Amino acid sequence: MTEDKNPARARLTSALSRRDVLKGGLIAGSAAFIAACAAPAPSAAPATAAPTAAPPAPTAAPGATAAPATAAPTPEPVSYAGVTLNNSTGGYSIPAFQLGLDAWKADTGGNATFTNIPFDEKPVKYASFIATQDASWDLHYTYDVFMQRYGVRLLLPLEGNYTGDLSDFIQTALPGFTSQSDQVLRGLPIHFSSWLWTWNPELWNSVGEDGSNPPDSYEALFALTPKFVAAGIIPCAQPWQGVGGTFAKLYWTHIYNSTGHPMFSDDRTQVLFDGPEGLSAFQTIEAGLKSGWWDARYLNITNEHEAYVEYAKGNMATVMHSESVIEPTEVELVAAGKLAVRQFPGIVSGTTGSAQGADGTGVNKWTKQPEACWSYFNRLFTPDVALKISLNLPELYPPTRLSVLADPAVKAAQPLGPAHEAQAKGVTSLWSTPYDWAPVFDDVVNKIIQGEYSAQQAHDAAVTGTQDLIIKFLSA
Amino acid sequence: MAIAGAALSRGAGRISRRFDRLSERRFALLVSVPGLILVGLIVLPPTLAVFGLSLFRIELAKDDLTPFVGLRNYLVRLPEDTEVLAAIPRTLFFAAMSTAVTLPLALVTALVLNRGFRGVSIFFMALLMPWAVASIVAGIFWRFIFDTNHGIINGVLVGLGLMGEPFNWLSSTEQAVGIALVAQAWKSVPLLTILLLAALKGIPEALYRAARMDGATAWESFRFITLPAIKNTLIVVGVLQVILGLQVFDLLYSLTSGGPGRDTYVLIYAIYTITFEQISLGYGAAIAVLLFLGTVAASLVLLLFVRRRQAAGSATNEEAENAAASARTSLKLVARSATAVRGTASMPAEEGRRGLIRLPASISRFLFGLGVGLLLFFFAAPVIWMLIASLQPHQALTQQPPALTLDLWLDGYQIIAGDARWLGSLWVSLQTALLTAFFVIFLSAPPAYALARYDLPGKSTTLALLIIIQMVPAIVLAIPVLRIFQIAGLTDTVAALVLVNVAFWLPLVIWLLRNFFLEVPVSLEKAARIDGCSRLGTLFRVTIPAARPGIAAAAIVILIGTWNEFLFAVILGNQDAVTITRLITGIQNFPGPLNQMPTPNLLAAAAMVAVAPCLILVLLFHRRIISGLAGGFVKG
Repeated sequence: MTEDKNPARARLTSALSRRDVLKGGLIAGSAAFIAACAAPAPSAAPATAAPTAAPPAPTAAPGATAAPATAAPTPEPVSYAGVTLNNSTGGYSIPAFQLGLDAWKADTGGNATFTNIPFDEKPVKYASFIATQDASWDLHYTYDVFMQRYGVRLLLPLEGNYTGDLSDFIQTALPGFTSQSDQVLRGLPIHFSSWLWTWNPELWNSVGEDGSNPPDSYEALFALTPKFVAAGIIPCAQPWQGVGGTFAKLYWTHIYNSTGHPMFSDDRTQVLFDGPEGLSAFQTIEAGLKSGWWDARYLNITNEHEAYVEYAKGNMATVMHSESVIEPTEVELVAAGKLAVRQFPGIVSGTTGSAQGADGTGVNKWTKQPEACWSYFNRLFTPDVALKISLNLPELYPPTRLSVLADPAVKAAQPLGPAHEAQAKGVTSLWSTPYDWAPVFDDVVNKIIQGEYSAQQAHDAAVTGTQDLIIKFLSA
Repeated sequence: MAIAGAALSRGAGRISRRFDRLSERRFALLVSVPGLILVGLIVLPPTLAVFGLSLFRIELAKDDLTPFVGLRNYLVRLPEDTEVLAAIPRTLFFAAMSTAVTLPLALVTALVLNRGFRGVSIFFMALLMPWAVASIVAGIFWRFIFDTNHGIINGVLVGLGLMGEPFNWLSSTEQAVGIALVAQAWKSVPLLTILLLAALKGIPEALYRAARMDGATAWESFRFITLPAIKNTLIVVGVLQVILGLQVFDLLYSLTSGGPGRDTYVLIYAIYTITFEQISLGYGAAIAVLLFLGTVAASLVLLLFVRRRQAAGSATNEEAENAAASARTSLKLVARSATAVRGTASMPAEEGRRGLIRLPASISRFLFGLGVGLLLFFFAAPVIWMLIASLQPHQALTQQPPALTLDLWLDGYQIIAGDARWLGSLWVSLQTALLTAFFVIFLSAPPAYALARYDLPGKSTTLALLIIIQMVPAIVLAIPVLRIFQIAGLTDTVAALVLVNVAFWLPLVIWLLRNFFLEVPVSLEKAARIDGCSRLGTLFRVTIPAARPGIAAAAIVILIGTWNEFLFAVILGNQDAVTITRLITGIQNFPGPLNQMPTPNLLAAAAMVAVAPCLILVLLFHRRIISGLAGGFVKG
């Protein structure tokens, strides 16, 4: 047997030494290390271009039924049987999305899963989606604040992808789904979750006030505090310092929006509440706290749901509340004549403002199945699905579409609908920005509560604090 | 079958013999390879990435541009960031104040435990309860206790007529900071107490006897014997608490959310906000590096004292001897009456050592009992109150004072038992904790043994590195860790949770186990080797069994720590791998699916379910945990 002179062959046929094993391990480890440190690989779908990644081969849907005539967004339904879309959502909206999925599934055979990401975890999760260009998700829950903070970087534009009629939406609901920095619509609202001003007519009548027509300005309401307190009635529970530190911002916005004045410039780089309108909002807060209208015992209850729980006990004159899931529900109480709702009061009588609240969804920028996503999205945002949502769960999901609001069945089922519609006519913007000004307002309102700041000082501090944030944001 | 077994045995024997032929250095390297690979793949890249990221501008909320900016994040951006600058003194204040609150409390607790009393075992159980509760759940506990409407503090104060109406504790700056400090003390005191207790146990009894013969009072014994003897340990423990205070996040996250306003917005909270809400990864990393440097600086102080102690020879005894000398000198200077001397001399030996300032025995006993009772109350009351609240009807808790009933309401537990999410999460947490504990022990024992037994080059550096990498704030590691698991395709799996926990536990546990192995007499191993036992055989048949108590303690610590882990659970889990700590924090604000808020008894029941396994471990193994913590940390 002659010795093999080929060194490569010799290498292959010889036994591995320990040194070889260690060397191999070192090389493999280094490679894995470098791979782990490497930047994320570019996704199949371009960031802003129309989706191009290969969808599952469209085939005729054998068992699919045709979409309703009024709703069919595409001329020929294609089959997405075997496709499952991964949605991140807020738990609250899942039943509404589920109705949309039912319709899409019937049309195309596609499926979807909904993962509830708790609100507290959303910043961590959304930041990680963006940082890692996470393609394992297909659609993401969004609302005003998330849209401004993450929208441009996380969601695809609707233009060229959404085939429905945008003019059917209540128009004030759409800015919350438009990224302000580039004015691009990147999501749509599935339902309102904005709050309404709620009062107990029986209690108002019991103190000699007109329970059918309470005052519509904060000043007039504050003046009634002694009357309610003397009768042992709590005027209003409002969690200005609730969990999470965002309530001061929210309630301030409700009040400020009644001035009709913008809070920021369109590009969110200039403070516009530095004038008398901003000051008057702080003066209103100061007056409300001093008068005891916002009962001191409830300033730091957890959130608006807890406030409603207190209200539902029957000894509170008013509350500012969103949709009700607590029994007895608002709808039930309205029917029983024990609760009335309407749009928010204003600083001046005859004005109204609120903070827009609507929940919705948008398509993930890095999804691997964009066509299926848009197919589902288009089906989800059809009038017939919106109608089903409003009729099936009327106490939960006020409609965001004009055609649905006008539907007689919805009118009968949604006693809160007209109030939402009326409220949507005032300024309803949450004035969301890519920087977070909530802590600034939480801080200054806290100082008013503690008696450390006057309204003027709070106004000055809020303006300065927000300007600092803008400078920081721009200079980053 | 028998043939296969014999073949396997022969194979193992061959491997064992090959290991025996290796040099110590090679053997150490080889047995460390699995652990090193895991740490090298999961821990090191994100840790190193933090330092690299801090030199770049990465503003993912704005764009994809990532230019190298050198030190601009440190030298230009930070000095202009008033919010972060304001957080620095706040962080230092919080760390200093938490030490000021925690250290005396831990010392008093250790002194009480050192004296010994009937029922000390129950006291140990109560002491370990706060340690076993996850920080994030501890925040929920204290928030629950100080809640305006159903908090027991308001309930009691209003009920006793000390307060006209409920107070908003967490919306007031002073109170919120105070509550955060108390909650932090509640969490930290157990560990510090155990470390101090270990030091106290090292003081020779003879010193106290001598002092008693010299007529010393209890205070004088404490002042001139105890304090000098544990001085260095006190400093070490104090520095340790400063380090813990610098890194508090979970507790503040669930207790105050950084508020009211920005009053509890400390540096680590700023890192969270900047990294996740602003997605400013470069700048967030820069602040993390600063916090890391602060922690390292504090640790260097700690190291200095440890070195000093080591240099002083067999630390405690020698210090104690010195202390005794100083005590005798001092005592001579203390004028005392002959009566006092006679009185002390006539005391029984035990009482002479441990008696308080010369008070009548009955008063002394009463005061001691009162102290024990108060401490017991402080440690156990939050847990017991949550348990009581979880068994009460909702209406009973929202009244002030609470209208408690003896009828047990189990509806909170029934809701949890009937909820598939809870059962699923319990299973996920259980799998993660058990598998992590197993793999950490399995992978860390060989390298720990090598570090304990062999004189390896770079050993001190390795030991220092094992600790130093623990000091990088975990918050900034989250996104790089997620990236690694995405590449591996393991996100949202129990395997990912196990791997990440194993990797991050390994450095600390290697360090701990090394200390346990050092306690095993080398002569045992030598005897085994002479009898023909191989290196690996000696490790697994002699050393590990001999160090079993310490290893078991470490395993329990890992089980509890992994069960309580929060950040990586959030980042790596979505729907299939949701741990119990995530579920409990989710339920606090928005339990879903329909946003209905949890009633207080449901929240309390959820919190109890989340901590129950850890509390059971504490109740069953408190002695082992204490000996393990004392053995591992003190000797280290």
